[in-house]
Amino acid sequence: MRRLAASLFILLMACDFSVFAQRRTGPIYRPPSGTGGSRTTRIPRPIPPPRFDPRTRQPIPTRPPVIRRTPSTSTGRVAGGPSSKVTIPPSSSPQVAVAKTQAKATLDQLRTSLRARLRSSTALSSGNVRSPKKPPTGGGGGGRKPPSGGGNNEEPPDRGNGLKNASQGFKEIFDNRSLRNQSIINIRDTLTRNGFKQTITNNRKGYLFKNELGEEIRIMNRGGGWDIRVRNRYGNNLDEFGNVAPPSKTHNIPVRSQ
Amino acid sequence: MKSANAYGIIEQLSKYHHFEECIIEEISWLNFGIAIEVRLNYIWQANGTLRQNLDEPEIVILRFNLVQEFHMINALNAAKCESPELINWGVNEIASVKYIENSEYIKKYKNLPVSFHHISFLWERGSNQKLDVVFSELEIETLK
Repeated sequence: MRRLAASLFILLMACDFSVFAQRRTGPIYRPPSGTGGSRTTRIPRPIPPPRFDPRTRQPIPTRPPVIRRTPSTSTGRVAGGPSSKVTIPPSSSPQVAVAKTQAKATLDQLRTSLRARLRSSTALSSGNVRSPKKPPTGGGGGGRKPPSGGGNNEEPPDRGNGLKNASQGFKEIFDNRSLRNQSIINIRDTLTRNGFKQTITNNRKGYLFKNELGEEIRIMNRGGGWDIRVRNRYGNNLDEFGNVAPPSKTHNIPVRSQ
Repeated sequence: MKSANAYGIIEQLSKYHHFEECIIEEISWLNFGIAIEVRLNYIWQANGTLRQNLDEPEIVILRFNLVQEFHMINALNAAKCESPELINWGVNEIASVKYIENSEYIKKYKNLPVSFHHISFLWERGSNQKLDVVFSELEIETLK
């Protein structure tokens, strides 16, 4: 019985329990016999090879993995062996920032090309290929536009054809496209600010704004309401959009007294 | 309707709203130059409001008989001189037709057996464009 117990003890002492440790942490380096006794050392995890940008074929800068030396445990199993631990870099790191920038650029390119395709297909299907419209300027006629360059007589397509060579103030009252229901106060402000002189009309039933170029705007009081008549320097009466028009279109353009 | 006195002429003009904002369509010389006809596109209705169909001219003829003087000032500005092709009917839209009392034009015709009158076709203030007629008799007719 004693013999049996002694042999069992010897057998247990000879068993290697390091197999269980290998499952949890990694392979175990065994020094060759006769060099270090029974001590084992953990092999550090391999550092991943550098990644390359597929477009530029330049290596993506990476931070070296953070290696934290774990203190020796009381068990003494890994004492002296370098234990490595690769941590995920935080979102604010340059590596993540580069990746984000690249992804954003790719997404923007895709968006742009998709929009262009969509626009061309829409224009072709409707048979109306137009240049993009100008963004609307501020309302109320208060937004001042930069003065047009001298000698450039070309008007944007959305401008009335009666505004060719017109003065800045004359054009500015058409900034909201139509004169219909515009405020008299705003029109007056725009015109007087741009050098128009205000007087009373010949029939004393309205206000006349005139400048030295011969441009003429009349705001007439008829039947309890106000309407506007606009005449450019060539003597053409204009419609509410600034186009040279027949008499029916140049009359009865109401404006607001407030 | 014919008028040869000041009161009658003024009454006729007011009946026609003084031809405010009407458009001169044509001026003709008649009777070897002693009569002048001015055709206007009349834009008003009887109740004083604008006609609905302004693009269809409603012609009213002012016929001046025994015309002594006829003055026309177009007062073309630089833009009109440079691009006369851009001028259209708007140039001929007058502000009003006005009877000028005690006009300097008629003083020299005081000794004649008929009285003379002075009418001005006026454009808006600030414009020198003007048409003056010195005549003895005015006849206004609406073309149907």
